Amino acid sequence: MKKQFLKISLLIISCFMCLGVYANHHEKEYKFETLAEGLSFPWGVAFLSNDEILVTEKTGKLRVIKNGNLLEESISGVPDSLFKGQGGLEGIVLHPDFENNKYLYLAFSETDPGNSKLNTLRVIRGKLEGLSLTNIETIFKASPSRRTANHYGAKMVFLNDGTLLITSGDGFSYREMAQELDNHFGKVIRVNDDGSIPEDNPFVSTPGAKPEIWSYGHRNLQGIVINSDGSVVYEHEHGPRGGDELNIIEKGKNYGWPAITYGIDYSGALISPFKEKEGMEQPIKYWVPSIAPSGMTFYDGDLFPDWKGSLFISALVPGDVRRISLNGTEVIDEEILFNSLGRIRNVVSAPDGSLVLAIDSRKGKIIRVVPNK
Amino acid sequence: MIDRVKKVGFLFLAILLVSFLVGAQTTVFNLIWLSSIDMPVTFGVLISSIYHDFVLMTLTPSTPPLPPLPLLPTIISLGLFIAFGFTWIFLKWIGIQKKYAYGIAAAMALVFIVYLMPLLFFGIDMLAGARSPVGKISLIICGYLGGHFFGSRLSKV
Repeated sequence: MKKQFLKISLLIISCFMCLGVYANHHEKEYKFETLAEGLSFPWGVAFLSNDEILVTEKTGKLRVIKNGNLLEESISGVPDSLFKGQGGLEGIVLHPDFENNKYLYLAFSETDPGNSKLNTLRVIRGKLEGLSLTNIETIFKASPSRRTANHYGAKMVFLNDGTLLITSGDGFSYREMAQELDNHFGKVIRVNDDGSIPEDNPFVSTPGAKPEIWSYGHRNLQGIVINSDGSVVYEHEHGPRGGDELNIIEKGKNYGWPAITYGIDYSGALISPFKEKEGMEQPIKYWVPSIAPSGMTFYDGDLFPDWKGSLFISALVPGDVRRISLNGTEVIDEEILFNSLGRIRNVVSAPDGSLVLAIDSRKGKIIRVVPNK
Repeated sequence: MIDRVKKVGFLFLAILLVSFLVGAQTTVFNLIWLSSIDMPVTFGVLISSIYHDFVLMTLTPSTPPLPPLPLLPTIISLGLFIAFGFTWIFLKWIGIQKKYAYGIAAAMALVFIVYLMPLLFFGIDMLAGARSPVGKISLIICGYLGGHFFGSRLSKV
């Protein structure tokens, strides 16, 4: 009996030692550097250069971190946004030719000018001149407006052809409309850089359809990126209770929400008893229970050679980053990283190959992950 | 004493009945929509979905950060306790059959639940079946049926 107890104890101790060695190995790979503190719910991150970073605060300001210092003064000229529920100043992306044209794109929720009870997702572009945003133009406005302050999407990415993809969430209470083409709920939108509609969008000639739609059947899409050669568009979206998805976005495809889903409603009710159907796309990965995926980057840097070609997905619950290893477009592994920092709102690759994290809090932080050398 | 136990039992059954009906209403509304977009909704799917929703909405405790109670019956219980309390007082002065009085009271409780919940959750209807006017009305009818059942049982105690 005593011998057996001793054996089991030794086994348990060995297991813990192995875990310790494993954890230490990973701790040695990287370290955290705090770039800025005291940001009010940092959301979107864009790099003017490696040492000059723009950060949207959900509460409505566009801030600048320069050489490791958060500037007191925020960018002026940013339109007012609606900070309520899940809404606020959110997505940010630079024009691919920003060096020359200085165009910056912002996605945010705003009150409907015609009815103060309603609100919508709006995308604008403006020219960044010093600390001012000028020449504001509306690029996209989701229609119809909604009563809820939830599920905006509000992420953007430029494709190699110069068009802009915008994620537009299902507004929570309008989920069935994600299956209809006459509205912008639960859609990936594709527009030209000036907001005009590309002629090769899939539904431009479909009667009654919104011509900006690129794909449909989505829920709350808070991550959209392209791979290094721009040939694949990855998108992730929040599921309800379970059913967060990682998808490959293709022109005109239906991703199924809410007709098929791996999640259930917050009340416990089935949203749909179906998980697949012909003509509706399957995710390349899904999570049950939910991790609340909040941001994504495709890592193509040189600072972490082992991570090259991986997707990094920030997760609000329980608060970590998932490194998704890919073989082509197939998910082969998932590694949980940076799980000591709290709710992580976004993860972005910096020009120098480091990763930058936005920590979601009233006193949020921007943290850079660099090799531990 | 036995009468009191019976009354508590009927109250418990009324809460269970309203919870079941509210759950089933959500299921049926979901399935009607799914059917409208040509999803293969069969009688078997209907039954298994109603069972699933009854178990998860009515019998399963919530997950953190919510307290470990079945959320739907807890909310309905609170509504019915308050509504039935007022009805019990009113019935001392007003001559109306108990089944109608408690039916109307429970319907009123559901009115508050379906209209007040969105105010607490940034305009969100946590019960998917409550998102349309028809859905709201049908949930109020579910409440009425539970109250009617309770009132009619009380009359026989």
